[in-house]
Amino acid sequence: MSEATTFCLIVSAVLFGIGTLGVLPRRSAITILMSIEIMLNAGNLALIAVSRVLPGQGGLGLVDGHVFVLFVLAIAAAEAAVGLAIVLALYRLKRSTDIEVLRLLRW
Amino acid sequence: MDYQLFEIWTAMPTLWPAVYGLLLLLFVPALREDRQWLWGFAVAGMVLTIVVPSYMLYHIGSYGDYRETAGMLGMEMVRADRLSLSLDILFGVAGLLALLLMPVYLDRARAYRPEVYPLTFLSVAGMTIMVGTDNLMMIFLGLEVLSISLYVMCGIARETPTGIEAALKYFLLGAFSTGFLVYGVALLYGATGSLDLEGIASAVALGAPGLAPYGDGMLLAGMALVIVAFAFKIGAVPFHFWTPDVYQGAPTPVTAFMAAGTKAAAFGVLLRLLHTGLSSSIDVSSRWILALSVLAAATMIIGNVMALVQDRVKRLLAFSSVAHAGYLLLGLLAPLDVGVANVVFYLTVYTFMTIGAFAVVSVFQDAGHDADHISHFSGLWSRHPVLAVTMAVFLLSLTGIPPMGGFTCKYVIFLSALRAGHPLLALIMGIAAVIGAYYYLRVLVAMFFKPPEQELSAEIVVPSPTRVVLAVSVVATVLLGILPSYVLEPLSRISASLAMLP
Repeated sequence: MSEATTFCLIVSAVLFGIGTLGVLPRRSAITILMSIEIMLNAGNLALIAVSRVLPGQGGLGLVDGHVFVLFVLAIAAAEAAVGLAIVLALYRLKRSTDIEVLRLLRW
Repeated sequence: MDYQLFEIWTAMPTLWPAVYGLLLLLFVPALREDRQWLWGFAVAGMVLTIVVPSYMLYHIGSYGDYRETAGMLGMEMVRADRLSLSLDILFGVAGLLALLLMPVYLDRARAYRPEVYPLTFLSVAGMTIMVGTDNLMMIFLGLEVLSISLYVMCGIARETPTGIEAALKYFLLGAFSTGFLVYGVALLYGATGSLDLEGIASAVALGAPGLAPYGDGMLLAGMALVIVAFAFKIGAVPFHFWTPDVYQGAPTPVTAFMAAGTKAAAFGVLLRLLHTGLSSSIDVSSRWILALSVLAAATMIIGNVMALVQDRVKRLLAFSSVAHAGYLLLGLLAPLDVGVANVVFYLTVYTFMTIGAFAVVSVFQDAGHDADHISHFSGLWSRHPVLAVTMAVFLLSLTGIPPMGGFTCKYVIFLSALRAGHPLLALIMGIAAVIGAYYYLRVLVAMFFKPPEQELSAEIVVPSPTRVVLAVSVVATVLLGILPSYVLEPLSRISASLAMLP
């Protein structure tokens, strides 16, 4: 395994950590959404880095990982669209995107 | 015989609901005023969604297991075997029962939007993709198709604060767990060099992971992240905290669909992932068995204990669904040949009893809001005896009282846990079930022995589609309890479709 791959994997792990830590203490729904996108992109980076060095055909590495990344990008876009629509509906109702306003459903 | 027919049939359980759902979406603007027609088309399509996999399952012996090759990448990505077809039938049933509940409930809640019917089809399609494959990429795609449709369905009542709150919570937690899934799959892929479960299994068996120096660590970390992602989806403790809020805030028919369908799909995937992909080395399988044991014990105990203090029946049923996820996790720990049939049988019973219970709850509406406080249920026996008895059947079944289906499925899981060498977990299951009896019986006592407390402003009217749902669920719950062997015996052949590589 090359140094470049190791480096990419370390960066992806750091990104994943940033994303996870970004989700937990946040109050703004939009910031949480952005942190989740960072987590997904950490996964993408790891997939590409790994896919390049795995043994495949024609010197390209194994292409499964590359294809997977395209799917993840498409899904992330769909997810962001639905998520922002939900946040918008919340804003219409409460005039705020702060998740502190979500406290009707408590025991 | 006709080879090409056979190929397209493989993908049929997915293609049918996906294509039908999209066509239905095209007809939504034209049929916006003709609610009955649109609903009729939806119900007819969902009936066929049940018929297609049933037909395939009936004929599976004559063809062997179907397989389709996805030509472009030369990989086998879609499969139809006994496990996927049995679960496909279950998804269709959950979808159909939810569709029957939807129009009246949404109309009374003033949240009727016809888009909810196509979304139901798309989420059923997502579930069928998830269980009908051996490939992690397809599992991811199916999970997302299912989840994204469900986020919208939860928020379909977007003018109500509780509805939108449930949708946002479900979305944020669901998307968070997707992050875990993608990163976990990336690590598994790096460690084994394959996205295919059989490829992963052979790499794990050889003990020669793809990226040499970090292979083992990556494999374990990837496995842990994927298990966490699915623990979110099934609502296992400590990843369950979204469950009660979302179940309470979502429209009740959507809650019923979500409780039954998502759980069945996620457990179907876990069966394949753990038993096909990660069982070829004792070293690896002992670790996920340990992780799942801890999850199962915590889920059974905390799910049942938290349900004790709930005063709203929807929240109570949500914690009950957490507890049932714990029992099902216990079923995953058993070896393949007994475990798979038991888990699928449990999911079958659970689908009927939980949708039935939510169907009763969906009747309790007051001025467009859910009237699901326990006090709304008290004295139900004197107000609507048939509804009270129906609810009693579901509650007794969820408790696990013979002769209901809920007893039989708990019993087989209990036995398989004992046989698999987990006596401590079996004991915890027994204790948890006893704790569980208290809160189910609390609702029962309120219904039968207490005077009516909080009158609804209107008379309780059970609409006729809901009656159909209740009748089907009661009959299925009781029959599965009395005659389990008619279902368990065919299900016992499922494990062959998951059998490991030589």
